[in-house]
Parts: sequence; C-alpha cells; structure tokens
Amino acid sequence: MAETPLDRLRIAYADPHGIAQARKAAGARLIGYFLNSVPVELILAAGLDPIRLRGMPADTPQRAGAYMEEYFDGEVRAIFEALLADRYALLDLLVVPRSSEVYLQLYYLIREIPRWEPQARLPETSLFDLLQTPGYPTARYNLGRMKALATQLCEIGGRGVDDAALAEAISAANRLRTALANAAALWRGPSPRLSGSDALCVIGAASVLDPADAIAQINALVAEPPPELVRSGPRLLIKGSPQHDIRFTSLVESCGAVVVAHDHLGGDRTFETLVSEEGNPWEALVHHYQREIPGPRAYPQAREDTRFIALAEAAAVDGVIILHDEWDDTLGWEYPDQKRLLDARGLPVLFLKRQPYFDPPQDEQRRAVTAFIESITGGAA
Amino acid sequence: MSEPQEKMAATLAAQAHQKETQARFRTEVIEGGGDYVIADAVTPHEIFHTLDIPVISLAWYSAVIAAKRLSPYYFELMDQLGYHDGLPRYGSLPFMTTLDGDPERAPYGGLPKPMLILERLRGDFGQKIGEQWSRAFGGAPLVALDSSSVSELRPSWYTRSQHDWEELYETPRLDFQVEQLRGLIAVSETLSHRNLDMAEFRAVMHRVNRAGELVDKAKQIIARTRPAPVALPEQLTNIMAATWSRGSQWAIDHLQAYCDELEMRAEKGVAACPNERVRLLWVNNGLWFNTAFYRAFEEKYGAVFVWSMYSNFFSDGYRKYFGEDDDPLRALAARHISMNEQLHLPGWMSEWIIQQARDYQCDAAVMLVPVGDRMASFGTKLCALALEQAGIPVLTLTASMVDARLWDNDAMIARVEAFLEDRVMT
Repeated sequence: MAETPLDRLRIAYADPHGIAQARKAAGARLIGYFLNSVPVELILAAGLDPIRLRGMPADTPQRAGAYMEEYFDGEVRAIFEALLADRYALLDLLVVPRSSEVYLQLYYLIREIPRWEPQARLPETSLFDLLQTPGYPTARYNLGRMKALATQLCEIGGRGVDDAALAEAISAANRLRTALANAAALWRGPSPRLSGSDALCVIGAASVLDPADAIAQINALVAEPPPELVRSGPRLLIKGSPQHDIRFTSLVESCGAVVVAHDHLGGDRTFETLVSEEGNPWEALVHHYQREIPGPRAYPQAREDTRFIALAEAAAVDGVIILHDEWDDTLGWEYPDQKRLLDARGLPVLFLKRQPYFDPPQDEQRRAVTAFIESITGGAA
Repeated sequence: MSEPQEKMAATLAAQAHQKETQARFRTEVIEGGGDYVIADAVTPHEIFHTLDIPVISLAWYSAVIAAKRLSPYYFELMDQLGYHDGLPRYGSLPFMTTLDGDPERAPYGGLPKPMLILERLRGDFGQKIGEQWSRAFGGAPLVALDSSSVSELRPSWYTRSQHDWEELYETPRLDFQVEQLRGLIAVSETLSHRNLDMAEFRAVMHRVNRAGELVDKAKQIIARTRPAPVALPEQLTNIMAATWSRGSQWAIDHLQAYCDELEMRAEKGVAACPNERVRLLWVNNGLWFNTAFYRAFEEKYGAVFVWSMYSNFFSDGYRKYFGEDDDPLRALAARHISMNEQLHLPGWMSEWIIQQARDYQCDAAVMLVPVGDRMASFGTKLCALALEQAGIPVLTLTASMVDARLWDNDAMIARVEAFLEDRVMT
C-alpha cells in the first residue's frame, strides 16, 4: 500500500533522530532547539535549518543521573541522557530557550559537562534568553537577544539577517502555522478524522521536517484526509505538562475517549497565533515570542487561561484532563483557578498530579481515566 | 578553652533589634495602616530602605512560620485549596497565611494588604503566586522583576563580583535590570507619595558595602580561630539581622560590635565547642525549623558546623562598589541580578563553597537537598562531586527545609553520625 501523508508524518514523528541524520546527510546545517520559544524565523532567515528536539521516554537517565537531580522534568532528564550519548553531536548549534526554568538549568549543566566528561561530543550550545513579562523594557531586552542570536547564527556560517530576509522567513513560518491550523480541523472538528495521538504526531513532525517539506506533507494530509473516526466517546482536551510523546493520549483514547485538543507545549496552542507580517519584522518577532506563545512563564495567568478556555470551547470538549509531571512546581499553582473556570462552564476535569515520565503508572491512569469517562457518559461509553 | 554558657551580647542585640522591628511593623503598619512592601528576599530592598518603607521578606517570614512550627497547618490548608503537595513550600507559606485569613494564628498578627508585592521571577512560579496573592489582598499591586540569565558562568565570581561586576553579569542584562529598577522606583514613589532621595540612596549603597566588609571581617576571625568562637545558629542570627536591615547604620554598628566581640572571644579562647575536632560546612539552604541540629554533634564528636551560605554571602555576594561619578542604581542592579544563581548554579555554587571550605579549614560537608522546593536542589549533585574531587567528603540529606512533618530527627542524626565515623573521623 502506498505511503500516505499521515504515514510520512507519523514516521517523521517517531524517528526524529533519523530525520535529523537524513537532513544532515542532505547538506542541512542543523540548528537544534527545544520547546516553542526559539524563533525559527531567525534560523530560516540566516539560511540555516531548524529542527525541534524532544525527549524520548526510552532514554532513561543513566549517565545523566550522576549530574542531574531527579527533580527535573522527566523529559529534560531524557534529553540530557541523549546529549551525553552524543545523540545531538550532529547539530551545528543547539539553542536552549530560557522560557522554562528546567531548560535554563539544562543549559548550565550542558556547559558544565565538559569538565566531567571531556570525551562527550556535545554540540556548541547557546542560550536564548527570552523573557515573557509584558512591558517595553522586556521587549527591548528581547530585541537585543534576537539580534545576538542572529549574529551568532551568522558566525557559524549563516547569512546576515536583514529585514527582507526576516520578513520572508516570518512568512514561511506562518505558512507552516497556517497549515497546522488547517489540519487541526481534522482532530478538532465535529467529526474527527485524526485521533489525538495522530494530532501530536502531525504537530511534532511539523518541526522535525524541513519546513517546506512539512508544509507540503500537512497540506497533502488536509487535501486527502483519512476517513472519519468510528468513535463515540466523549471529546476531551489534555492539558498540563508537555506531552511530546503520545503514550498518555493513546491510553486515554484506548479507554474510549476522543482527544480533540491539547493545551501544552506540544499541542494546539503552539501554532494558534501568526507572527504579524506588518511593520518592522524584528518588532513583530519580539512581540510574538514575548507575548503570544504559551509557556510556563507566560504572564499574566488570566490571559493564558482565557486562551485555554477558548481552545476548549472551540474544540467543543466534554471534559478536560490535566496531567502534571512528577516534580511539577509551577503548573499546580494554576490548577485551582482553572478548575473554577471549568466548573463554571459545567466541564468536568480529571487532575492527575505528580505523574512520572519514566515508567508511568498506566494501570492507575487507566482506572482514573475510565472512571472519568464513565462520569461523563453515565457509563455508556 | 572555656565554653560560653550564654549567648553573645551581639546575638541578644540582634534579637532585640528584630523585636523592635516587629514592634514597629505592628505599630506603624498593622495598627497604623502605614505603607509596607512584601518582597522576595532577592530583590532590591535598598529602594524601600531609602524611602523608609518597611519590607517584609518572603524568606524571613517563611522562616518565622517554620520556626514557630506552623508550617504543617498551612500545608494542610494548601492541600484543601487544591494546590498539590509537590508545589514549592518555602515561598508559599506567607501566601497561605493570607488565604487562611486568621491573624490570630499567623506570626505577628498576619500580613495586612501591602503597598505592593515585589517578586523576582527566577523560577517559573513566582508570578503565579504573586498574582494570586495580589488578588487575595483585594488587588495589591504586583511588580514582577523579570530575571535575565547570564550566558556564561565566568570563573571566580566571588572575587570579581565586587568591582568587576559589569563584565561578570553582562552589560545588556544590567541595562535591562536598571530599566526595571527605574520602573520599580516610579511605581513606589507614586504609591507612597514619597521621593527617592538620591543622596540618601547613595549613602545606603555605601553602607551596604561597609556592612559587607564587616561580615568579611567576621568571617576571617571565625575562619582562622580554632576552636570557633561562635556557634552557627548565632552566626545566622547576627548576619541575617544585618542582612534584613542592610542599608542602615544599625547594621554597620551591629556588625562592628559583633566583630569586636568575636575578637574578644577569640583572644580569650571562648569557644562554641571547646572540644572542637572537626569543622563542617552546612551546604545549601538552612534548616530553619531545627537550628539545634547544627549543634547536635559537638558533644559526642567535637564536630562543629562553622559555615553555611548565610555566614558570609553578605560579604561576597552583596558588596558592589561604585565610583562617586557612577550611578548607584547600576550597582544595585548588579547586586541581585545573579544572586540566587551564585548559590545554586553548578560551577558557581561549587567553586565558592570549595573556597569557603578552605578558608574555614573545614573537613567535611553536610548538604541539604530540599524536597518540595526543587529550585534549591538544582546544582547539588555537581556541587557534591566537586567537593569530593577537592577532597572534602560530603553527606547529602534529603529533606524539606520548612516542613517539620517530613523531618525524622533521630534518623538524620544517625546518618550524620555514621558519616562522621565512616568518612571524617577516620
């Protein structure tokens, strides 16, 4: 059977390292980055090749455990293990954003490791010190960091970034966001054609593939969508710690629900807002990353919660599952307010706190999710 | 050697000063309705000292709550309100006193609505607590100082940070921090209807530097004198009282008296533990609800804790010298811009602590790895590795630094005793 666009996106999602190797072999100069807060537009404008990196649950901390405390988010521990295993040595540059404290700490650990493991083949690593408080001084600081990153990209072989190149890169990145927004109808629409797990695959693959390739694959998926899913369970939104892997979403769907939206750093809100293509492109880029992207440091919280509720309503969900990492110290502060917002709309919520990334308690999760689904359906699911 | 039976006069003076400060807070703020500010510990209190506005430090109030063993009550309240039990506990205790709304239970009658709440957004959650706390007070203004991050941990921060801070902390960060401080001053002046007197501000900044020099003098006395002339809990009382009042003449006078008394005790051979055989570092945050633990190994082993990060961070971390033609606001920006990072980032943390081990003639270290406050646990593994590599044995104790419910005193004492017997006294 011929490979469908969805197949190709699933493969790209499942084997990002293989994709990275293939892109590298084809001549790409790879700039790896974490999360949704590194401006890929700058990388594209410099003529370099962005690739978003994520942790893999199979990378259980072995060497990493000697240096990194177990209180880090599980995914960050997996990333550090992969780094020590030379998995990222093919990168021309690794950019670590400051938009999450554990990633900032990861940056300093990476910088410290050569002292302890001089044989480790770590990529050159740069901190992108994005700040997200509202205000003009913060915007000015962020503009300086953007220019510094552009200079560094130029120093490692990229082109100098001028306004025209940046404007074109913004347009290209927006085309990818738009393609994803169009594809979102396949999982968020009234009759979903993609599962929540496949939604994560599509979103994840979009930042692993070359952007032009990703746009082509996603547009092809939208043009030739799979048939409607044969599922009748409640429509759920998953929120909380980043869910870059599909394990939990698959578990929820195996219990009879349809996951129609994700509100976390691997989910729907990562492409909800386009960068303005009007005016000064640098200022547009600063505004976007300072104020328009989701993240644990995004502030004020009420603004973020408004966007969360808007997503839940747009996806017409019947309930919400909030899942926090085992050592979460941040998202839990939001939960009481978010529960009140959901209660006010009659939307039930299941809160799974302190969930381990490695070897999660899937039997317990399954029991909790099944009971939650039954509470929504009255046992009819 | 003679063992002191009573506290140092300086310690009594520091405690009296704390009581006077609390009495003033009660009179002027709680009863009089005067302005005051709730501020993260690592924020520019100097601005409010200059404006003569009382400051309640989050770390200080948390420590008071823990010392009064009220933390279990507030943690249970936290659970009831839906805040999960893995959330950071140290900074959340004062917030919980507001949500509880019972002034009879909270230390010093609880905190009334402040003029503003000041946070430094080092971790990811300070703004979340600050926003909700502001709302719980019925809309107290929240000023969130964002926390830029240094791109390179240049070596020997503790020797460079006093004069060479422009390069150490990086110019764009300092520019941004100065802009934030100007905003904070504007907000504070508007809300308080006061004016920041530049001459007085400059004097405050000089006084902090002078106080830091005296803390360094106290360090030199304690470091060179065996047996140590003061116990660690008394060090903390004296240094922290000066830290919270750091821009005042009182802080200078107090630290001078403290140094004089230390000199006198050193000359007379007055010792915290006359039987001192082993000198220990207490690494990482303090054990505020059980400071007696620091002295639990003196009688049996002659093992004395002579240093914690509070012993002399005031001298190494706070002093920022500037010229008469320079803007003292930039020096203030430099003071707090990487303060936590110097204590907790791998590299910076370990190089300073190894230097302190050498200066204080320490034989071993006991390191607290806090649970429920992971920010304070970051960097501890690499620090322990570095200390061991430098020939300093390390015992790590994993425990909450504020939740007495989670502390098994007998088990912890047994672990330190085993460490002393197996790795230090051999």
